[in-house]
Amino acid sequence: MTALLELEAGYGKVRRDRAFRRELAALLADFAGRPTPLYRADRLSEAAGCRVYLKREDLCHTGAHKINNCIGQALLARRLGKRRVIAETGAGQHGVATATVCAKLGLACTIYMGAKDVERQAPNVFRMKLLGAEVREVTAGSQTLKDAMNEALRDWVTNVETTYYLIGSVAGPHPYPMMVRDFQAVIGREALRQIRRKAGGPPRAIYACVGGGSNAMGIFYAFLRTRADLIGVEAGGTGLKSGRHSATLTRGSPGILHGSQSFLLSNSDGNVADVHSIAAGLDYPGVGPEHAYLKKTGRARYFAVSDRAALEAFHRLTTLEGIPPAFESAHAVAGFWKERRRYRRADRVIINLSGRGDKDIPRLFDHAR
Amino acid sequence: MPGKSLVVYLTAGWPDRATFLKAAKVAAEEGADLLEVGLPFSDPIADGPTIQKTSSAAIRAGMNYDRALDLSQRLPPGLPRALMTYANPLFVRGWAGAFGEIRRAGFAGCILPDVPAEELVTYLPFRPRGFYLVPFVAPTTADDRLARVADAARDGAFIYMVSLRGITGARLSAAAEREIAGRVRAIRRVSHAPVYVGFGVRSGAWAARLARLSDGVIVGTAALEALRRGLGPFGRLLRELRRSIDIRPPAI
Repeated sequence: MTALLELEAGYGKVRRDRAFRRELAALLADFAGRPTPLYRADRLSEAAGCRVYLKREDLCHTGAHKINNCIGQALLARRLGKRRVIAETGAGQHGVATATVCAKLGLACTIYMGAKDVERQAPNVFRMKLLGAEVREVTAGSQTLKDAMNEALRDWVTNVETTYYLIGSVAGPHPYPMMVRDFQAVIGREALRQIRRKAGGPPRAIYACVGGGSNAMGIFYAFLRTRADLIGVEAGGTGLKSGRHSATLTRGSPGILHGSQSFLLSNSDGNVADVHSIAAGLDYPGVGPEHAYLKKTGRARYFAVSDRAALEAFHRLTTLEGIPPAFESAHAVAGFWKERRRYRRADRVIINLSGRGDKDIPRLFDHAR
Repeated sequence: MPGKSLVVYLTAGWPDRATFLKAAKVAAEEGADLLEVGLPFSDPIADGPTIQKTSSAAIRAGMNYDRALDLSQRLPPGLPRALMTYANPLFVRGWAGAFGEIRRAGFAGCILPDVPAEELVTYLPFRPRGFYLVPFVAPTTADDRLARVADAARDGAFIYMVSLRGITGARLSAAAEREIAGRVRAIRRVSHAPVYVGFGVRSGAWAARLARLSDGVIVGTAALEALRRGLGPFGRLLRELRRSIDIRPPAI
């Protein structure tokens, strides 16, 4: 708790600090490669029957939106005088982004990763090690993302004076959900500006995938006060009835995990459920509390698409636009595709393409063989 | 000077239901003052490897909320007990209902390590009369938070002093001892509630040193590790701890 209070105070200071904001803006521009384009997907638009724009977070350094938050928090860690950064990772994207920024800023880096994920995502483990990070394999519990987060929290309380815990999603205890949202909100700010300039008006709808929910919160935030429909697409796995999914907002109920109250997939004893998705980055039983709030107020709506629909969307975007999306982002594409008939030809729809699919291609390759 | 308390933690139903009940009986016989019964949770973030393992083993063997409360009815009647678990298993049932059921199962209070004092005070209105909730104090807890801790520690609650930075089962040091002494002094200024020190209590020597600084010690990881070896080693550990904390410090 003391560490969280220190973090809250430290973040409160830097978010108003000009020098910090300049430093952040410079790294986002020259290191991460921002602003990312808002790209009009003509062939997908033609096939869908409305005007589809892709927010190209897949073009960020390290291949996903994760870097936006990592730069912000790593700069904060340095301001707080912490020399060591720890993080949890599922698919390895957040781990790679954290290790990348730590290398750049000269901070020691330890990444916690579930043993199952270490096995499934071996190339990312290697990549983190190349970047100088130590990767600690977590063999407790379900050996996936939530267990990596448990272990990172245990490390943090043990080494709180020297260590900064860099959470990768809009989950965890306050102030993380707020802070991660703020660092990701650059996505929506850019998209709002770009769609006005390029497309001449606001979007009718925005689609984003939701695991913990950071890319969705990042693009939604600037649009909360517009009339755009905000739609979060969750991982339906092998089907909601199969029980093998991670559709927290669609199928979960209120719960408390990792220091925040939100929606959660847990059983009647309150134990956290095992979840599944083809997209390791969506494979989390909780969801950011602000998404639970947006669901409750009706400002955003959420539904799930299956592994199969996400794979179809992957192929559709790859063949129509030459852009292989990450399996996570393919869920957003699939969610839009499912609802495409709602829109008229002149309607503008933005899909947040949160990450690129390069990391998933080896799995498709194995599958094809 | 009142006697020092010995608090013993056991995971409900571990290593099996019969041994768990026997261990509780041994604890009562060896002079434990309070039994802390752990309702196992899937994600015990405050616990080290030992209690993580006993928790997941108990869950795998079918232990859950209803069974833990049922089983607890058969614990030694003379030994006061508190239920230790995490927020979610009680939250999903509703705080008021859960606290009532736990009280009826014979527990005097509840210990929730993932709920800070600031949140804990908001749950106080949902308790049955006389049922307590235990706030935690860590070596890093600043003085300005202690008022909230004192506020939460009502109706017979003790304050759970975490002896070190980290999780259950870690190792103590002399530096940690000095910090604990400082925190206990700060607590005394704002609260009359007893302060029990837990996390890292492994030997009689440490128990004696920590008990001298506080009102008692909590033993969990070491107790479970002894119990894994058998009821004999478990009983011997408790006897050693009891004897150590009862020795009055030499007069100066």
